[in-house]
Amino acid sequence: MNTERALLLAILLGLPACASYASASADDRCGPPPAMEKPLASLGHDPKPFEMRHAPEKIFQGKPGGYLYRFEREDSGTTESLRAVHMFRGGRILVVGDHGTALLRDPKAGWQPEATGTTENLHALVPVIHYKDGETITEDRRKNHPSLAVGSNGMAVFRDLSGVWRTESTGTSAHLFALRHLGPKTVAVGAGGVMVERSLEGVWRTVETRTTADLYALGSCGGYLCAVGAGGAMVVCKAPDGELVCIPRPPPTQATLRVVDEHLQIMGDGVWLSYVPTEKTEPRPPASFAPWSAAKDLVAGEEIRATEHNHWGGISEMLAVGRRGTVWFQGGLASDRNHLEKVKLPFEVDFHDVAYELVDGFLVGDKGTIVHLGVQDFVPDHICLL
Amino acid sequence: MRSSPAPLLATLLLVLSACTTIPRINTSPDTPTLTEPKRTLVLGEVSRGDTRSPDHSGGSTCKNGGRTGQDLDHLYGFEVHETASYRFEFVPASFEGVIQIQKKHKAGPGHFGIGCKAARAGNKATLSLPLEPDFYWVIVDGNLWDEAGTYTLRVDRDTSKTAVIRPEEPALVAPLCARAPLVRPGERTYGTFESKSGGARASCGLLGGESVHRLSLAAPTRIRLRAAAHFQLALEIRSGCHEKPVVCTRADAGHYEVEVTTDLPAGDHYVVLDSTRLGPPNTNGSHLDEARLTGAYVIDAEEVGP
Repeated sequence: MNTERALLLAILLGLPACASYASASADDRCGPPPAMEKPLASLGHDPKPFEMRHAPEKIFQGKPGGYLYRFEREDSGTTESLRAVHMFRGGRILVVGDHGTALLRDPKAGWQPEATGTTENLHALVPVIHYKDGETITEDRRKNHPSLAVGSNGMAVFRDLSGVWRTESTGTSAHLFALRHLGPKTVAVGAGGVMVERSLEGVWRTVETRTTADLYALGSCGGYLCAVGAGGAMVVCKAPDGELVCIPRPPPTQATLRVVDEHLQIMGDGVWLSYVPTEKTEPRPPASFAPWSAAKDLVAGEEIRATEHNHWGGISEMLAVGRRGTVWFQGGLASDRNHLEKVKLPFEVDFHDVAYELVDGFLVGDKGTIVHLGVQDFVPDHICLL
Repeated sequence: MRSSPAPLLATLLLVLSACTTIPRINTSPDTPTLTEPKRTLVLGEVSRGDTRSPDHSGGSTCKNGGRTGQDLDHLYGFEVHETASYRFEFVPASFEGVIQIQKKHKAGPGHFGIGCKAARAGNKATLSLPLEPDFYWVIVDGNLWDEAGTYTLRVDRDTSKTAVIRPEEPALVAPLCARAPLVRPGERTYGTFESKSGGARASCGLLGGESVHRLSLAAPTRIRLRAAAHFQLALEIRSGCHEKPVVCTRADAGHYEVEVTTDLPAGDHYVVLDSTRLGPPNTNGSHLDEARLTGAYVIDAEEVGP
């Protein structure tokens, strides 16, 4: 780790930093340098993992030659399509999929099935992260959140802190494809433009979207909640009096949209849209999007199904997944966002979702596919805070 | 190399002293406990007073020096029944004074300032603010330490050319009509509303803005318009850019869509979309300079049978 980089990162993050060109002095002030981060231990299921070298950040060049990225298939114990994954703090990973499948990763015993109480296909999964006023936030509480999954025929299942699942009535029979947690509420969207909203107490109500297009994804769009879907459908919502009000926007494309990325990007079938900046500040009008020319050739004929950002300094980047084992890496926090790299992984399945944090990633897809990404030899930045 | 700890200790003490809270002299606590107003400000009427006989209600929070201190003040209550711009005129005859308009916090006790204006002795301070229905506090205070005396204060509706909420200005609206995008029967029209003082204002709306659409009919038609927006909207149809409205409808409180059905002759008609409420306040909690509203809307138009 070099000192200039540590200082620059600290400045970028708005943090006071100390560093010294004298290594002994730096140790005095900052403690020992961080150790190498090791990915979660392999389950040992894949006799021939796929390995590639990749440099996640481009500005500093990072480690010469980048890091070794190892993609390793894990035995899920199921052939059902797996459609959503979430990685909790502390290395717990939860996956849901078709016919009510839910799997929790045990570092020793491997993927363990859980009884969700439903046979519906589960398409989306979110942690329900909300702390009540006055609640003590313990480290255990940080690592352990209730979860919510939704799926076909309006199904919703809630997993409590003890790992017990229970079904909930959403009030709709439409297929639900996406979830988004918003403060104490959780919002789901799905077929026919349906949107339902869940209170912290588990009470669901319908929200008018004023569209009949199938909605496949939800995300934040510069102060608004965005839902996107078939035929380029886009609906933007805000809550002027505490209740969501959703208004359709002109479709920015005719292609089906499947992802609302956290960095104001929208992706889908052969299309990658980026935010069109506006000079207006507050109050901000609804965001506009246009095709990102740099991605045109890399997404033609592809479907981008999900993205996840790794926010850790030194390894910040976005990982997107698609059909037939295709993934994309995009530069992140301290990198060149215009850098997009497409990689064809040797897993001939369609991926549906991805989780990615620090040196671990999990890609889930058809035929019970779970692929563990482990980034080798990564040492976090040495930033000293006063 | 070892060095003496003295410079280090001195530096440490310097840093510590810089970070220590230094007690201030002649100041009251940051959040004084205010009483209910004893005085009432009535629209269109002059109020007179002498703050040498103060109410001691806590004073303004914007007086010169920036802190509440002496409360040589008078506290008025002012009830607003209708959203509009209001002009406060304050003349401190014998002292340097200040007026501050305060609004109650939505959650929790206390009020916060949303507008403030000071004047020297014998001069007039004029302050125009768009206000929604509520009960506001108006505080007359000395702008400097020990300043107190006689004053006059009045408030009127402000429809001047500088008011945030003001009538439509034809010169601003004509270009909007000239480039108005079409609303077509059987189609959905998308738009983004931006409030603009003096812009196109529905007769049953409030703010004025830049959202004008044209509806071009080849024959007399019964037309139904359904509109929805991120804000409480008003929708008006005119048969000319500056003509009187054929129809105007507004969303009820807590609703975000309207529907109107009307018979229109052949020709061009204009659809004006407006808001019935102010946008979110600025970081100071006020709408001092603009109505600050933006949001998306859709208009669905269809021909309906007689």
